[in-house]
Amino acid sequence: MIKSIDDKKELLIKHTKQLRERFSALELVELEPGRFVVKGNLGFRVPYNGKIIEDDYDIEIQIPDDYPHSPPDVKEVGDKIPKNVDFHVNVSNGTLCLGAPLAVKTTFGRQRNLLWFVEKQLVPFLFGISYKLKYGKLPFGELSHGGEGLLEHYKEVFAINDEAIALEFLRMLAGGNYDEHSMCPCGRDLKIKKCHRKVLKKARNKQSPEEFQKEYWSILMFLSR
Amino acid sequence: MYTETQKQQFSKILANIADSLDIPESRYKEAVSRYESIGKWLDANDSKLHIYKPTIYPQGSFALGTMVRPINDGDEYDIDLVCHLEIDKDNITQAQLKETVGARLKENETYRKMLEESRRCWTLTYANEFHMDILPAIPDYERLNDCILITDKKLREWQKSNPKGYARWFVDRMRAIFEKRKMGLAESMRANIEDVPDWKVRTPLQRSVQLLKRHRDIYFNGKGHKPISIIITTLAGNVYQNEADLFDALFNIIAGMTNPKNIKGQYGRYCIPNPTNPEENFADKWNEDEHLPKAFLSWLGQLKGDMEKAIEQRDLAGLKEAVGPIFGAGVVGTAFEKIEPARAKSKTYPEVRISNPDKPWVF
Repeated sequence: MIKSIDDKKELLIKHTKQLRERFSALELVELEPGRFVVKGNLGFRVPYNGKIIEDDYDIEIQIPDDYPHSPPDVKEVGDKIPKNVDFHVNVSNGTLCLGAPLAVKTTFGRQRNLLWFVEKQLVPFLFGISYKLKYGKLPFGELSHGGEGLLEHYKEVFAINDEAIALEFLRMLAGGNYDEHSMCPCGRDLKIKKCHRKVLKKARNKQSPEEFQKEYWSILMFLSR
Repeated sequence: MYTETQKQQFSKILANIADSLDIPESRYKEAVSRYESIGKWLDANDSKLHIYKPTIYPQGSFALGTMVRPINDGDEYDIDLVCHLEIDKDNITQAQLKETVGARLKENETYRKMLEESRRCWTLTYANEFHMDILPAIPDYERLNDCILITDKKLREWQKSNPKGYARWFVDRMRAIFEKRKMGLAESMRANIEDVPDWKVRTPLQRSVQLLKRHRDIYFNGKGHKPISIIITTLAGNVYQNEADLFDALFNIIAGMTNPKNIKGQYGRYCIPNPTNPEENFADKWNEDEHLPKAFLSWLGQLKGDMEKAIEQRDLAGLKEAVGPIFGAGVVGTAFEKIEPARAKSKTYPEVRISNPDKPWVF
């Protein structure tokens, strides 16, 4: 755990240096004491389906207070991406929505550094946008908006087709604690510890019950429409 | 639908195109020195014209900063000049004025070989460089200063004109942005604003007129009913609102030029008055031949469509393909070359291979 601002700053300097070896037009800026962004031009070449798509975006990566625990937020500041939900831009604060919250945290959680974040999360997203702007659709698919998309996501996470079961898993996570000796909601007639234990545990490590609760309500709202 | 970045990119390209259409600075200076020499010859002490204090000054696109390179590369730039003599119209006829100026030009061995007469002027052709149209003129004492009377072989009456007044009107129509651009230029040249000559400044209005004229030259190449430059320039000046962005300016100008309230007057007759002489209607001929306004409107409709298609292009290759045919591959090529260096720098984008990406979501 990072204790002080100085530790965080030191880590950020290290991570930015590593990032800049690949993406040299990005730089670390301290907006005010303890508040950092990494900004500049992010250019990439992505080979895809026998073609190479090359593009660049002016971006601002907002470093969260608890970095590297939580993944950063990103804003596209060059006005290249239409600022609407069809391009996965959160209308309320202008940040890019790289994926479902749990997915973004999980992917980031594998390495927890800026180069990883940019290469594995940000560039794939921006490449998708470049592709969509050119060909009209995202290359790797996308989730629906809001609760509907979350439900699609959790069905994938728990590898089940039944919406009610996905919701039940989410309810358990939102409740904070559950008995691993109870029967797994998935219906395979196994106890949780012999069934979905690992998936649930991983999810719990990434998000707080409150965060699951919020998503749970979003899905309920969608279902009750 | 287009983004701000697409617009900026397109505006930049349009400005570069206009730049390549413009007369290069070296050519500009050459032209000035050429016509100053003509002026000196006409006003030399042994010249019969000397007593009439002859002066030569530019008019038309050369004076307005709206020159457009000819479609064919070898062709000469057209430069319109007024040759002003201080003679009262009661003391000279049109034919005498024309002849007096022509005679003095012919006294010069070099000029004599280059000289040709046309309806209103004497033309000096500097091969592969310029056509200099020299328009003999005298003051129009019945009207305000700078008003002149010019000759026309086919008309009995002296023709009224006011090129200096027109140039002042044109600059007035872009005053705000003109001063701003001039200041910016002074800063970049590290010079005082008064040391920056007006001809170095190019505003979105001037650029737009150049682009309109170029598009017209290509659109009407080999076709009849081509709109005259003075109509384009006057309408553009009338509707320009000092937009700072070239795409905005050009797009708004096109919309304004086709708006009936800007080209029609009483009884639905076409009316585009000369801003320095409201009695003169530049669109007089439009009321005699309906093909003229029709051709004008369909041309601008085409240009509008061309612009809309071009701005939808996201990458430079697509943009180049879209604007190449409409402004001419040559100038467009040059326009894109100018922004290539900036692109070459970013050529070293790192390669990223994507596997198993998260699916984008949005709340």
